[in-house]
Amino acid sequence: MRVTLNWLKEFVDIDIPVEDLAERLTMVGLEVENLTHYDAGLGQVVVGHITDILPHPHAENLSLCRVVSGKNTYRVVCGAKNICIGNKVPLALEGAVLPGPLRISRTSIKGEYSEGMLCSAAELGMGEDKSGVYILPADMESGLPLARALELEDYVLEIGLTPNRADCLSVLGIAREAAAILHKKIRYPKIKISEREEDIHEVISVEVRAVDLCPRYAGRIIKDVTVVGSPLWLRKRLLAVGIRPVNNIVDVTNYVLMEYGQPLHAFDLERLAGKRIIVDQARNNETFTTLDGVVRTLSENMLMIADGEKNVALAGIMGGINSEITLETRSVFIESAYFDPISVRRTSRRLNLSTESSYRFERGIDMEGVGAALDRAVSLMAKAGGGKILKGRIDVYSGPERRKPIPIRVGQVNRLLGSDLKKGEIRRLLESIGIKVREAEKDALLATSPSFRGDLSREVDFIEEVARLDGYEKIPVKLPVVSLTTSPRIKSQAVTKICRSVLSGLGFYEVINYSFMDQRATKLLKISGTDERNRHVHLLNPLTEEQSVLRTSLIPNLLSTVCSNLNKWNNNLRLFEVGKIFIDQGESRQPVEKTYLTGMCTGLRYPEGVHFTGDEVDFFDIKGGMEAVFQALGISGYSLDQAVESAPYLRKEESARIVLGPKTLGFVGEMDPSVCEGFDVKEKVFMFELSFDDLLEAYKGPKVFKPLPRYPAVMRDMAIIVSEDVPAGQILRVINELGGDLMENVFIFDVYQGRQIERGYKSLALRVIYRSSEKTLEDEEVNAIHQRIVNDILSRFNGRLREQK
Amino acid sequence: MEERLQKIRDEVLKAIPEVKSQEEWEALRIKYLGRKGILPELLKQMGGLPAELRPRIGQLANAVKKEIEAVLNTWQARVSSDGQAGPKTDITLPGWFIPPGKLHPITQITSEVCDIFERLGFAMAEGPDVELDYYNFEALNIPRDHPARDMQDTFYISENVLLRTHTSPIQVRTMERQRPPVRIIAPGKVYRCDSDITHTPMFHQVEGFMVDKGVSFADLKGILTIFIHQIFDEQTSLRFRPSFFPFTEPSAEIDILCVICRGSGCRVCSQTGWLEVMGAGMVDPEVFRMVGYDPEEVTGLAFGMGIERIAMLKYGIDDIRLFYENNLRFLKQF
Repeated sequence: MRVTLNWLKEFVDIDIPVEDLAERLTMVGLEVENLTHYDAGLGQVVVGHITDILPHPHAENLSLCRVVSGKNTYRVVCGAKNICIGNKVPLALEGAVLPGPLRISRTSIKGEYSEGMLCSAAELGMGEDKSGVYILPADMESGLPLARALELEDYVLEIGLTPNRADCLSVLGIAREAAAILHKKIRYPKIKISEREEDIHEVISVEVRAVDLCPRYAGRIIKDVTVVGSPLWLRKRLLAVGIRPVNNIVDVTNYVLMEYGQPLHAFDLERLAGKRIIVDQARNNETFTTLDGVVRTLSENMLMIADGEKNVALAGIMGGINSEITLETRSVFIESAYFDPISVRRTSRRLNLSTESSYRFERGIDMEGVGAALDRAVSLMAKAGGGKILKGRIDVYSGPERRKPIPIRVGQVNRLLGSDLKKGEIRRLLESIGIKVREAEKDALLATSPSFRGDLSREVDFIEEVARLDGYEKIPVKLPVVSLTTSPRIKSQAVTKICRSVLSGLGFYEVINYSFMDQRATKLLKISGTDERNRHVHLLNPLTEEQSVLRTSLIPNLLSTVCSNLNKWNNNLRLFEVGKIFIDQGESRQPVEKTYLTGMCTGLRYPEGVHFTGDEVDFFDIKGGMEAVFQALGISGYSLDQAVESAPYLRKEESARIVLGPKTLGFVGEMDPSVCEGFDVKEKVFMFELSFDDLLEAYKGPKVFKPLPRYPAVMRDMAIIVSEDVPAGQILRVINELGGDLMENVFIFDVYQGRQIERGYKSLALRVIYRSSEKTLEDEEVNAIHQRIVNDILSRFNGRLREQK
Repeated sequence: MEERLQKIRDEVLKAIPEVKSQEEWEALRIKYLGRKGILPELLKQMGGLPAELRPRIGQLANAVKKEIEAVLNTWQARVSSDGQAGPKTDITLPGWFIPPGKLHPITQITSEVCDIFERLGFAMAEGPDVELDYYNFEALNIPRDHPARDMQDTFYISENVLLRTHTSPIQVRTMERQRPPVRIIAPGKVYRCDSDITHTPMFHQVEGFMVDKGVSFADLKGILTIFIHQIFDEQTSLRFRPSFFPFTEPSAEIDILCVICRGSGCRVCSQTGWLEVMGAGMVDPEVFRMVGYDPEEVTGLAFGMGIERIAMLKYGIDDIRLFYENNLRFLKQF
């Protein structure tokens, strides 16, 4: 909402600087988002005084003028014929931008330099006259900015209004607030109407058939008007608040709309068939051409204004082209009505047509203001376009509804605000904005809101008024005194924290991607049709095709992140994301939301530098990252298998499924290069993805202390040769099973395939650590166990010992 | 015997400063301490001493031996750190470690925000990203066909299912399953169909609320003052400005003194000196009615903020889209 300072000053005495006014309005909830000086587009245009006129030496039609403005003298080439020495004229200097737009600069015209331009009214945007220079009154002071000289200077306050403050969608509404802040009285416009003999009721009849949607419909007629451009004051004011002037009749309806917040519509009376107005709902699939020239298809719940034959306006939104005001219009019917907010809003949404009118009706206008705005409009029209106002006004209205007084308890005010306001102060604050207040019981007041404040219907609404008018800054700053409570820690958040800290400690960077993805992404991942990840949740109104469904996997966006980083020469990447995926559950149901933890790496294992070799990351880097997470969460006993039907985006030869009990925890491996290619990634990428929800379930919370060893450990190594198809993990698992209480740990410290080993076999070197918690183990004892284990392994896996040299 | 020990000691102390190389040092060590060295040879003669002298001389011999060892060691330590002997170490070369990764700045700020409120006794809560119209709007006193719906551009899945536009549905869900008193802090992703230099279609909010007997607007001011002072600093003043949210009454926007210009006016604060950082207010009685709380018995305060906004102000980031480009060069900075 834009208002100008001068407009406000018509209704309230403002005796503080405009900056202070803006600040104070902001602090009562009318946020002034912008305060601009308005010079009517006349910056760098000054009042000049012609002191000499000489013929242009090279052009007969031009003259050379000497123009004095204040202390400066300018030389101006001019083509107009209506100027004389001694005239006061508008002089546009270098830097001025006239409507058009025309930028003025120092220039040379036919060999003579010119330092500016003498302007016509049309060039200044002040009228149609372009026949000659706009001659200013002789007593105007030379050198003044023209905007100031013409009293067009103003300030524009742009106010961001919250949806509850429909009453402030008008200059008067904001003036009311300003008056309250400044402890001033508001002066409503004085409306003088001289009516003709002829009675409006003899000329037109109005019938409201949809009373629910139109509880009040008023109108007036003005005859013998001349439709022309509006006077300057009217045009400039509309321009200042951002409305394009059209003609005097339309401009007045807009002016009153801004001033009173009451949308009006002007019909050409001659074009209203049967001199009737009918307010009723549309018929399905009728069409109607609105003022903007668009043909619109109506449906039966839309409220229409019709004449005896046809629809003439979309009620409260926009008029029709068939009854609009033209230069030929002589008689005007002006409508001022109250239309139901919800109905206007639905129609406006349905037709995707929002106007200054619909905006106000949607938020609710002042039912009791309908008449005053109408009278204001006809009086201004008579002033701006001549014409005569018919006697009386149409007003289809059942009369004002009685507003119920609401009890305001002083105790409740202070309880909610934490303040210590007295009854008298509360009363004064409420009355300052036109609320009627009566005394009730000793702790309470009875408040009745004025008709323009439809948003005040409950005690708490009035308490808010008290708080904001008194100033939020006056409410004390306290800390609550409450009973102590606690609630259990959310396990998922604790576990997320662990995962994040482990992975970042290992050099992984956390990323956050959008929850949206491209519908085609799962196809790029080769995910088959029946997989649940193809059950996409579709947005009804996506911003782009690439963000049209909710992601069913973190992989596509992560791969895109890898790609965009590679394109920016960030070649060595370790990334992870913890985030939700969404699986559709059918129409009108919320999808299932599952959380995943997914990591990716590519490029070099270590940063380039003095201590590091240039190795690239491989399968074991990503597997290590994943294992670190398991270790930190105390998850053990999982196994890996190579079945990857459900992870078709991994390269079969180097990927695995992670299984824990009956559950698949996730997958790890190298991304299939052809999948990467679909995301424009040409590098090798390794990834793990883990179902966070399953991790959470497997998470071993509290740890149990084991006594520290008191007796020394005994180590035994074994070097065995087995077929290369035997997974080392299986051997370890068997040793773990066989080891019993005395075995503390076992690990592989070397894997060898090569010259000394026959093809198809590998050598594994294992170290087993034995320890007893009760005594120092004897060699014989350890040897016995160890030998049993070695024998068992050799026979189970069909292996043999590697001879020691 | 005593004299000889003293002499040996003096000889070594005198010789040590003259030692120029590892070889000379080794020679000196062998001469005095080696198996056939002067000191061991002397000690072999201890047996010939009268028994009553033996303990004293023995003690002295030991002390001399220790002292000689000490000066020899000191020389050794000094030369190695001088790099005069042994392999030379360029201590200016970088040490080695695997450079740790970092958490996304949004994660960092979210936990900073939540930590502050957890210290004030608020408990964490979460909710679904895909919400029902009821929780996102209706239960928060935003009926269908209400202009307040225009305040947020909503992504719809179907007529009744949508991407939550704020974290406030968590208020309703929490109050539905818990009786007062409640104190909740709830972070999460939110969505609005809007995309430009200051808007991304997905962003993060943290929602906080508290319901109990006698909670007042003054308490809201107190809690948020603590919060702003902790997340920015004690010098960051704040103001409460009347505003409107359908689910709070009275409602407020919280402005902080511009962290860039400290109030003198700059581009970031559009010359106003203030930056809007949060919305807040007292829980509207209508919301209480929806969840079956009695507004005559309890009152509540609620507040919410955009994490990106806080992060941008704290770190001086000028384009919100950077958070979702995940450029490593960006992520490395936090």
